[in-house]
Amino acid sequence: MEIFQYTVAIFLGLWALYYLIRKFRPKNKPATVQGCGRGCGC
Amino acid sequence: MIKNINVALIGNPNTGKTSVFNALTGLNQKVGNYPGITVEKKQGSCRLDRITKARILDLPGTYSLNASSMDESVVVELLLNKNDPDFPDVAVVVTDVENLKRNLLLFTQIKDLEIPTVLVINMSDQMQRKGIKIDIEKLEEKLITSVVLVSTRQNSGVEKLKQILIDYRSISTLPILDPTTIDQDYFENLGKAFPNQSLYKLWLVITQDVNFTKLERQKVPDSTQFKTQSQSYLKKLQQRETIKRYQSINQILKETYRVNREEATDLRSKLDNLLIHKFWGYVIFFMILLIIFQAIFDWSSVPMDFIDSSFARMSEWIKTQMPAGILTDLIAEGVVSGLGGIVIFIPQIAFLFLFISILEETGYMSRVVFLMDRGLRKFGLSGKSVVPLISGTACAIPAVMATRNIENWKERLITILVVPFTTCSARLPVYMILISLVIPNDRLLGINYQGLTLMGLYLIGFLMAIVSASILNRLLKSPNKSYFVVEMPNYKLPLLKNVAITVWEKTRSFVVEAGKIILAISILLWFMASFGPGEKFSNAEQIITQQYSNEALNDLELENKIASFKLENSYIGILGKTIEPIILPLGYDWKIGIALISSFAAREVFVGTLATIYSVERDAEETIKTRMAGETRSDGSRLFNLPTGISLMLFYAFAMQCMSTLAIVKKETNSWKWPGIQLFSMTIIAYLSALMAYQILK
Repeated sequence: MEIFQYTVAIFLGLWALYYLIRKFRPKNKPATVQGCGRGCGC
Repeated sequence: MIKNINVALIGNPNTGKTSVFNALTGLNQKVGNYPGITVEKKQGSCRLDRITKARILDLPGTYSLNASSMDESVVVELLLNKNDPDFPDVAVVVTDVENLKRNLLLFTQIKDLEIPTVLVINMSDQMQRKGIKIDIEKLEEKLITSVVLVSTRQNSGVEKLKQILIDYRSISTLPILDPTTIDQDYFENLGKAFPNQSLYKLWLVITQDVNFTKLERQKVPDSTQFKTQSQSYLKKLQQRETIKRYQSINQILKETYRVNREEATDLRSKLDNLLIHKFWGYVIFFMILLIIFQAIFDWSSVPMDFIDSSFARMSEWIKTQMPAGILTDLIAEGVVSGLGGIVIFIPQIAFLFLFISILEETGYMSRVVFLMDRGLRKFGLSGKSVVPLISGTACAIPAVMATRNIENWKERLITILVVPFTTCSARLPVYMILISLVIPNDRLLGINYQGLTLMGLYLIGFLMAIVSASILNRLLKSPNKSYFVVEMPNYKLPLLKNVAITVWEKTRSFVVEAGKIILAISILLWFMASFGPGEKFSNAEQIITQQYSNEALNDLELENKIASFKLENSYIGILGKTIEPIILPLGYDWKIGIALISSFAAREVFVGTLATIYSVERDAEETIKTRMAGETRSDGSRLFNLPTGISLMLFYAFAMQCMSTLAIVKKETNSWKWPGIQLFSMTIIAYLSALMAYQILK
């Protein structure tokens, strides 16, 4: 039982780490969906 | 011999075009489709006099000749194709007396096609009620055309329109806008290439996706060569055309069109007079805000307490029902406590969006936008900045994206930089818990102090946004200005279904989006709080038992001492202790420091983090509120007292505690420079205000 509890707890910990890294890592979107930043609407 | 003429009725949607059509044609009308498309084609006939018969075509409603839908393309195609049997001898542009400015954009475009064009100002019976006065003669002179005031309700003006149509050849076909003022080089070259063509017609052929087979193509064989300019450049020219037209319309209406709202007698105008009044408009807006924030506190306290105690019971239940072990502790102390910290705020979020959606549905929000526009211009913000600033009360991310429609880069950048100051819904949980801990639940003249504080925090955020915008306006230079048109919808009763959908959607996304982040962070925090390096952590029990061997502590007291010691020496404790010297002058201890770090992912994580940290240390059956209220400093005084509470609230009001917003600002400005500046300056402002508040109040 103790091994089961440890396994699930570690799995949850790894999931939490993976989720947060994936959530907040900078995304490289294709240039077509990015504004050029100069306000020209491109 | 009967003379037949083609008359096209053109106008913006909802201008009463069909009523004019009915008044002219009576029962002589038929409805069909335009060939190949399912756009309704309405035609009718009208005997203008003994020898003139008009074939009247009611064209689909369109806002401009820059077609964006199939209905609008029908209008452009017909007006550009002289060979079409429906091509009008005379165009009648039907406008609505209340929205003449917007309607005249289409009129000037049609007039520039050099077709005889009559301007019909419909719904003229509304003029008196709305306090509108028009100098028709001057308007005719400025627009170089005939203008008729028509009221189909009172059946007036239709006969005059018929007379003008009989004599349509006398109507001038002189254009209003000289296209070379849009871009001299481009249009002069166009004129040289096609010397006998109307420049404006050529321009429409180039920019509009019209059906070229129907056009007089032999006359414009190489129109496509002028598409050599990029699509974005052509779009820019189109925008410039619209701005030029509105500039000339504004000038014309300034001399010919007056609205005296004080003379208006209809209910809508009366309400508008009050709601967008220079003084009373703001008073009413603040009264409405006050009622909303009072209600949020009064109505949500019962469900909030219920949810809080339910989660505490759930945590206790898990501890007693599941076999003892690391997973049980993780779920009871980490997951349930962390989730409780988000679910508890569902009632407030739901009430906030209930009120916001009711204000939107009734049409009041557009008045607020108008009211704010007047005030904001002085601070370097565009009227268009109002929408992002107001939507920032929900979340800064869509608000930053909403700045895309601000053409002027400087105004857009200022808006992006100041939007995170407006109080987003993620700050609400932090404010709610701190207010309920440090502000007394008393009333003065029926006004609850807690609601008043919450309103003050919303206003302080908005005020800081304006002050920052004003400073940035002086620092950044730009010569251009953008234009802002807001249409005031009619007042109406809110549709229950729409309100319910908005409340559900916003609450759901708050719980789901924030919930996942909080769950993940709570799990990691629990691990960091439950394990630690070195002897101190592993021998905590032994050290504390020895330390307190001379004091008569009961089991529970001893257990709490051990838990506190372990937490202090856990990974999270060490991290918190490291940053403690920086935050101590603000009145925060290392545990609040941990919450500050973790809530950088999202502000609402603050409460969940404290709930998790305290639950590792304290009894599971305690609610979040009692755990926080019970926290003490080393001298035994309450940690969450008024100075610390105010200091924390100010910190959260001004700090850029949101990773997602920084990411979206980077995306929108295409550099890390601006989010970097934003993070640095907002953190400094937050730190200094929190420091001042604590040092003054303590």
